Amino acid sequence: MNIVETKNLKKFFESKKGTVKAVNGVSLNVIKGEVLGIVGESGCGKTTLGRTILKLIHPTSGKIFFDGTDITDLDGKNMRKLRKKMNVVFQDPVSSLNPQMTVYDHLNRPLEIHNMVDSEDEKIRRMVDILNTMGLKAEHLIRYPHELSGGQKQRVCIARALCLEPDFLVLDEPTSALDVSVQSKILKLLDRAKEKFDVSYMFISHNINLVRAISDRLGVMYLGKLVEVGKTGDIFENPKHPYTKALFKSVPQPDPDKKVEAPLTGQVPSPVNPPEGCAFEPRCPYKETICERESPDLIGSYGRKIACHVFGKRES
Amino acid sequence: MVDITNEVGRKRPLLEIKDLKLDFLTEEGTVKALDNVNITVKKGEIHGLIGETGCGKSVTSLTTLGLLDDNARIRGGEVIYKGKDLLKMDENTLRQKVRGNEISMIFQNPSTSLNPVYTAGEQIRESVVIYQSDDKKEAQKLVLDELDRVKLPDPEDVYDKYPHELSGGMQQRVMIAMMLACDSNLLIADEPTTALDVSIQAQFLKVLQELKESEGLSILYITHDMAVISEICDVVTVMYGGQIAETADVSDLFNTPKHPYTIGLIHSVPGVKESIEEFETIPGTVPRLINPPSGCRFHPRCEYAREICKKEKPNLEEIEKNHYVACHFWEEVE
Repeated sequence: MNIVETKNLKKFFESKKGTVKAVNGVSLNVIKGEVLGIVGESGCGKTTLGRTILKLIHPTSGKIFFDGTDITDLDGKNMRKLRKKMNVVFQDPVSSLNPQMTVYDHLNRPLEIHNMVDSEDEKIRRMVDILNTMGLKAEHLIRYPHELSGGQKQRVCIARALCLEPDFLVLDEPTSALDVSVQSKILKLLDRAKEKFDVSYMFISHNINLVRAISDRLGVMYLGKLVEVGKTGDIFENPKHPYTKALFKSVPQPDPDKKVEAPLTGQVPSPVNPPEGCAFEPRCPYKETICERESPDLIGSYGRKIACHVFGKRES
Repeated sequence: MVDITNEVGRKRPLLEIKDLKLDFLTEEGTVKALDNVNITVKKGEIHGLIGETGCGKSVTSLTTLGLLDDNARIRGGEVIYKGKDLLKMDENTLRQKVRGNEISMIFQNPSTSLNPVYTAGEQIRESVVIYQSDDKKEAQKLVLDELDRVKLPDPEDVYDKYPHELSGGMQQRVMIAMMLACDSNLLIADEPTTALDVSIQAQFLKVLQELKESEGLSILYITHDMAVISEICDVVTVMYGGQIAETADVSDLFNTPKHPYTIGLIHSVPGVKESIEEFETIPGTVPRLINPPSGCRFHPRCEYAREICKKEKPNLEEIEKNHYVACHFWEEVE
């Protein structure tokens, strides 16, 4: 069962230099109860993808399905009803919280807007319960953001996202602004909350080691497209797309005996007027003539798909 | 693999930070930012300095170059570079004799370090003219050489590019080229790859390593990233709350860490542990240094802490060759 599905989703932005193809034909699905990790380097469109799926920005074309229903063209009023089912946590907790509002206020707003509680008692009970799940206490309700540490602020953001008991959360680099010792705590809490509230995550990050630890399935993005999708373990054991292979080799491991290689030369091409054929072609060591002309489709079987003319054929 | 221990044994210290104590005066009170910091960077080694937000790693490097804000007060210690105490030097000498030609620094965000209205080549040429040659033609050629040394493809092209036309990784390499043009012996790199993508980071780290090997460049590499540390450093110093927790060769630090904080840090890094369930966390949060914990500043978060940890700050002891730990109970730590 899919909680979220996209079909050939595109989001283009107009700029002075031309059309920025931030998300350029992404088809993916998030299965109920799973964590789908999305990795990619800066500018690959992973954040835009997350925002488009939630319809925080309107897609240029393609379809978005939520729990089986097409939500692509839902109007504001109907979308608002759906908002409690899907939510988002951003990278920087400081700019996500209002400095003039207490933790209580932050949790109160969504509960009031969506008429989630009947009485003040029930509301407080609910708030305390969610704070406890995130490792915070009732006394934190009266605190302002500046009285909290960075990790606590992010836990409030997650609590706010979870208090409506959503079915789907987009976590966009939720621990990138935090120290490592705090990061591991947040990850554990997210893992626990997932079980308790029966929610599915789309976990967007540039930190590949981190995504490896938390996600069940993984999507690798390059220049607005998914280049490889599959079970996290499978992809790490045997990356198939040339970009995935090179990317994994570039990631430093916390082990002095394992050294990175720097197999990728050159830069990511600009998403303004991207290459006609495969976006990775200019940097790819395996390229063939077809790669320059045609963009490869994401193909494969048993949930393992790659978009590559050279290696894709061998897959299917 | 090269036997690092033997090599280090022969290397001479280039920079020695000894018992450095430093406070910041703020409206809220005195921030005790550094408390007896000892770091020795030897010639031709990459020395990693790791710690979390507010542990004093950046302040240590800024002190070395005399770049502190007015509210900083040095309460004691020395920073010996080539036999001279940098803390006793006046601003003019520092500017003319140390910054640039002896010690250079690069920061996290290269786009704010480069001047947006000059091309990359012009900015490097400025250093070349001061330190190498004031002949215009020759200077230009030297700039191209420097760009080539940092492995920038097509140096002629990069020469005429403005910073905004270069990617973060290329900008950071322009910064390195500028440092090479000054002929510095020591590079202080403060989180130089945090703003870069992994594939670009990998290229950049290779350049640093090659410069170390081919030219004997010494680097003080400041970061919060354990994986990067393990990648390029020879020796690592772990800081916590303005104090040194542990210093060791990189393989010893990762294989036989002795300080409870180092162990916690290593175990909370994704990549060491495969799944979330195995992640370990360090309870509590980083202390505020206005009222730092007494004694060992890590004691409120430490599972081994006893009465003595609250009262007495542990000394940095050499427990094995080149392995220093500041912990009362390091022998019990597992």
